[in-house]
Amino acid sequence: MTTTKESAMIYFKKLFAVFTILSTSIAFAADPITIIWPSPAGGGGDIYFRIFSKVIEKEFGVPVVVSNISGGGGSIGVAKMVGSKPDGTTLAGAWTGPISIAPHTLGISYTPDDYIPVMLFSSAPYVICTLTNFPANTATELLDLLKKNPNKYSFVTHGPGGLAQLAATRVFLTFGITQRDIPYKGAGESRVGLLGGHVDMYVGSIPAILQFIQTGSVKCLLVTAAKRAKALPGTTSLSELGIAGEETLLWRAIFVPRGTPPDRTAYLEKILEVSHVHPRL
Amino acid sequence: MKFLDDVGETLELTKGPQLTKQLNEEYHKLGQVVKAAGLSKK
Repeated sequence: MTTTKESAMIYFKKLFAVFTILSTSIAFAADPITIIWPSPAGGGGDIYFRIFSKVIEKEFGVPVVVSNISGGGGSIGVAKMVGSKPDGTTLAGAWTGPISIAPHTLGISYTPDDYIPVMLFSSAPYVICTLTNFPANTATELLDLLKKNPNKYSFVTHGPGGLAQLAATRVFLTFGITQRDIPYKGAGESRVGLLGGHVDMYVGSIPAILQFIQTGSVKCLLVTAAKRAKALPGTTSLSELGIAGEETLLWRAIFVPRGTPPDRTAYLEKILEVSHVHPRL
Repeated sequence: MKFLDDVGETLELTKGPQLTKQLNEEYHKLGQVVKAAGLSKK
């Protein structure tokens, strides 16, 4: 784990190095940037990109607006970015779902030929969690319970054909499990579904549910990665169930429309790279 | 890396042609996974 002091040193070295590059791109500096986050406010990605936008504004003086455009498992917001003017002022933050899954599961209009990936920042598993009074306390107990009771329990998804549905389905199919999926618009809303007792299982990112794990109202029984997650060291991984090949990971990245000029993309790449290693992130 | 450390995520900075290649490969791999899971668009 990187210490705060080490993070600060990495950040300031990169900041110094990038000023020379940015001085040649001064014409871009005043252009405000809109980052479309294609999911409702309150989820882990939304929190992440809002911190990110503040860092960019403070360090580079570039106004940044985070715009939540949700629906279609993230595909509506990504389609908005794809259809925007390719001048580097409209970006989309996105995750695995609307980029690598939704084109196969939903009737959407864009393909990888319609956007340019600028930078990928992080990688993390999804988790399957329940309220603490749920009648299973380990991953094995959970899978046994679900298998013995087809369609009795429900799990949240972020819409049909999204990452949560795929992550859970890959695990469930392996063990011959069938349960009901309930679509929500994003992690922020889906955790409300769990906490309110409307669904039995949360399937989603760790940041959106972490505080409820820490306060003891939620327990997480499985991560959808081959290895255990640092934030949840007591939660079972897929390798321990013998199904490491069914790993489904959440990444976050920034995209611009195809046709964005290379010098503008290079400028964005530099400010994103420097901002990303800021100690707050 | 305060946010990433707090939430247990891994820093994974990828860009340029390597990122394009990585995402293209994932796009095609998950297309096969979706098909196998019966989640393909109708």
